[in-house]
Amino acid sequence: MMEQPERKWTMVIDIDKCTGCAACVVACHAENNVPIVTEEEVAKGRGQHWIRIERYWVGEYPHLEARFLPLLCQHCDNAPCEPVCPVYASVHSEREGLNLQVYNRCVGTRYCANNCPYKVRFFNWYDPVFPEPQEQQLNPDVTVRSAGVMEKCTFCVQRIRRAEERALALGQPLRDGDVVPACVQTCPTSALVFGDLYDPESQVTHLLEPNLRKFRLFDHLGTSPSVYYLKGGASRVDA
Amino acid sequence: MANRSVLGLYHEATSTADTIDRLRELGVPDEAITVMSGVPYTPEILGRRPVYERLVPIALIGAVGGFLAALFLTVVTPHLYNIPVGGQPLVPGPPTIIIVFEFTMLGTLLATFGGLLAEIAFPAVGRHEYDYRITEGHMGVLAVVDETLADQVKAALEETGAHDLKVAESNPPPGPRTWQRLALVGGFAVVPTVIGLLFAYSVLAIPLPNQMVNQPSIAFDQGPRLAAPAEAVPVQGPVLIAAQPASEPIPSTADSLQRGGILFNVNCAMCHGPDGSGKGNLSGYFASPPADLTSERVQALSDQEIFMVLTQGWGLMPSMAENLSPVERWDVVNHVRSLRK
Amino acid sequence: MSTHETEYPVWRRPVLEDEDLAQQAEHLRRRHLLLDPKFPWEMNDDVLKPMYQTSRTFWVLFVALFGLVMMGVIAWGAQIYWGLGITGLNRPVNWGLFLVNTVYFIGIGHAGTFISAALRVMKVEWRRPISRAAEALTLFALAAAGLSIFMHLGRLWKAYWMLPYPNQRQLWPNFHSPLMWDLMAILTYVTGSVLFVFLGLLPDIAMARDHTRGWRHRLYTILSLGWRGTEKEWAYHTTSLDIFCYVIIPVMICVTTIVSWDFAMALQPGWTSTIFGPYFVTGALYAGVAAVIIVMAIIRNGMRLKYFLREEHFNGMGIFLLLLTFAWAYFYFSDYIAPWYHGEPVMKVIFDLFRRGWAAPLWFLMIFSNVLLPAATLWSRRVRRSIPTMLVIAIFVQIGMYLERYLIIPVSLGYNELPFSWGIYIPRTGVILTIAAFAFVVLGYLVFSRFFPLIPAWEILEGQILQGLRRIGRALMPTRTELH
Repeated sequence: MMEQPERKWTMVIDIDKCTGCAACVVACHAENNVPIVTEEEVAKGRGQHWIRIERYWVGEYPHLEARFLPLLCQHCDNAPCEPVCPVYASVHSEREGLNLQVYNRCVGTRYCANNCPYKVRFFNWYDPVFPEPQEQQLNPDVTVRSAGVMEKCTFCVQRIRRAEERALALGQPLRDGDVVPACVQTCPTSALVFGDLYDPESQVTHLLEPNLRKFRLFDHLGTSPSVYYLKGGASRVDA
Repeated sequence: MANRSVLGLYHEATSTADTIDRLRELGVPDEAITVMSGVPYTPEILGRRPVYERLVPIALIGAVGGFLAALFLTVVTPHLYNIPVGGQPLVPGPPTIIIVFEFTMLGTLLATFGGLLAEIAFPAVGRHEYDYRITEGHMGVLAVVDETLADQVKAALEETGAHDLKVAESNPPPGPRTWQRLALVGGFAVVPTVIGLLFAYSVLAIPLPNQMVNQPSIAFDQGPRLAAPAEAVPVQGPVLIAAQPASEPIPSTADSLQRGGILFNVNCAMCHGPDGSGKGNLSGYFASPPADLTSERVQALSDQEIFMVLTQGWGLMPSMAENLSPVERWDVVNHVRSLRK
Repeated sequence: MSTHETEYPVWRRPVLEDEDLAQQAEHLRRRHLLLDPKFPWEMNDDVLKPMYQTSRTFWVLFVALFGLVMMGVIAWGAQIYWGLGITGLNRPVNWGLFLVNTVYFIGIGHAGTFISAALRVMKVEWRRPISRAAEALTLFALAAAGLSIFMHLGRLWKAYWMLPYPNQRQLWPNFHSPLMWDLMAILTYVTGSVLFVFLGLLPDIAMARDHTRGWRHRLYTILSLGWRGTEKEWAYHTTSLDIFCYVIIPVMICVTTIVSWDFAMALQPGWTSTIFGPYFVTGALYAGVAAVIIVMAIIRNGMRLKYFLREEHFNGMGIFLLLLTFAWAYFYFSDYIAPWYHGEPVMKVIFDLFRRGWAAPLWFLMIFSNVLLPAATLWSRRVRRSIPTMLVIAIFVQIGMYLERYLIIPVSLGYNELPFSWGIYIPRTGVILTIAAFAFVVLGYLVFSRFFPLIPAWEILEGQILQGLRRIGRALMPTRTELH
């Protein structure tokens, strides 16, 4: 039986507000036990950041501009990473509109990473190393992944679950602002906003209601992502 | 009535065909004549009826079997265990066609080979019913006849130009019977399957390093718990726990003690005992026993430290934060204080 | 034996009184294996003797190859222990040399099946001495492909989860995934190929059983399953081979098509071409035919099979190779022109890379090896009948086809619509494992050739019965009948 969609977790990223400070990157590392790969590994192209700030230079010196694009798993409705996993390690939760990665099912074929047009999937090339006493900082709610498994942003699903359990225990519905992923919590300019699009009172619904600045990345591919970007100004070639 | 086998070797096809005609004239039935050769001659060359072989129906059965197996895998299993992926329907059209094709072909191939094996493998023949020169281009005509006919057959074979003759008792040595053949083939198929299933259901298990079972991250209530440095926990004043309002101790009034007593009996007595001595009904089940709350060690802790233990757990003791609100926890703390001997 | 010689009309050399005709007959006999009959006991000797000949070269080669394979085993062990980080893979190039090897080796396997099955169905006679040598190459190439695909898995020890079996996790494999189609297709193909080789080998194992002693005799007795060459056995055998041929040809075409769909189903620019199916099949056959030519050249000299493998066989394979050159060029051009014409930005970057960037030497070498060299040379019969030249051309084709796979997989993967996430792949452990995979194929083939006759004697004998000489006017012409 198919699940009934109850929520649609959505993130709105206002690029006009993003300063490129990368606090969200650090917060995500801390919350989700993302390993710090060494400088050599990053030079080889193995940087592992569930949310990363893509930085593009625009213009010529001295009229140089930097444009920042925080890029995390878009939790697509038609996720191209899901049908290609031979062992169902990458599946869709229709109840809440999330793309789930099941770490202990992954055999490491890396087809999902190839198929993701946003390149937001990361493979654990080595076993993660947390030198003492950094393992004390690890979040016990989140699995520490071994070598050979894929990982990616989960919209802090552990926080979603905690909030849902708490709401159930307290006997009240989940309200907007109950679930705050680590990156959203940390962003100093509140460029990142998270919420349930099916909730008519939520902040994301208000932001996305008629908004000329909104777009989704690579919409033409038909992936139907759950992350909306807001950008006004010169970069938009619109009517 | 013993049977004799008469084997004659010939150089080429014409004399072989003549021999067969002669044998027919002598009244030897077609089934008793076997022609052996190193290259495939057609029945027309030898003047024989074509052999009816059942391979095509067997292959078709294999194809149907493969087809059904594929349908089971692609249609039935997703309906049994529904896992949605990527906006594609549960039973996608083109991939199903691919899997059906592959399994049908596999079924056909396996059935054909199996049919071949079943029909021709492990015949029970004696050494006299074969000659190594057959793989040197000679053709062999083997007639298994009643011993009364044997001499006539031998003469006929010599006449038509057999350059070598073997006559012997036709008692096929006890070769593998059908059930032995089936056991052998079945063994090859069944034994690996059974071993595989034993592994699949974890009856047998190889202790592979399954790293993710052992997590380096530590929850509040999992050991080893680092003791806080001496001045780290506030001994006086409110208890500060992340994401919760500061919690002030409640004075130890009669109401608080009464509430604390009731809550203690409900939540704590099963392990720590109704008198807090650590001998509750469940205490024997733990590797390290529940603490004796009346002891000097526990009573020397500050109220706030006891509150922290209730909130976060300690060792095997789980966090009571879900069971007791902060006010209730302070009531229990007051009750624990009153247990001092 | 001499009295017998006069009594074997089929394998007796024809004695012609007319000198001109006799000269023609001699000329035809030298050029065509099937018009050059040998007595079966001599042919058996010629086929069986190379199995026993283990010269010093053989042992040196064996030890060297074994060493390379062991090096690969150690590297693979290190990879399992340390993790795939010791390879050169990164994000976005998640697939590197292992996938290239997989596609390449599966491709090489196709020629064996094509020569054994398709040429048999089309009744092309010059396939007879080549078919088993080619099929043996298929077996070990498929084994190497299978090993390569296991090498690339992140958690290899969990690979059995991709098999459909009832389990307590309530999980079956995901048949939406092209990798599962791959698994099923390759399983079918491997099963089919192994059984097919065994079927063809059966009469020859019986022959080996009759002419060997000691442990070999015991081994062949078991393997031959009591084959006596009765009519019933031959009838079943022939029908089985027919069914196998008709089934394994579509399976063969589908295998590479499905492997190519691993790429075509992805959203990666450069991979989303719908022509990948036939393109890869053609490329696979192309690489395979060239590989078989190399194998033919080596075993002809190394195992002294000059009687069996003659210029006519190289000529036939050369024509085949030429046709495939044109087919491959056609498909490659089709695959190139559409994205070039559309001017998609990412494809422009990739094509620029091929024409002017760091991949340019590889790309030009590929075009030279796959198109220019074969097209310029193979039209000439003299070239096709010259075995050293064919060997060189075939080696170039191998290089070209390997480069083609390399340019498609790791190079294209490095470029996508997010320039911040581009990457370049520099192979590290993959190189050792690639060399080990090649060594494994050669080693396996070497060992196979000691245990099983590489030339199907019964098929050649059958062919020699079929072919004869017929006089038309002043000329002596080869004729051929059909036994079935």
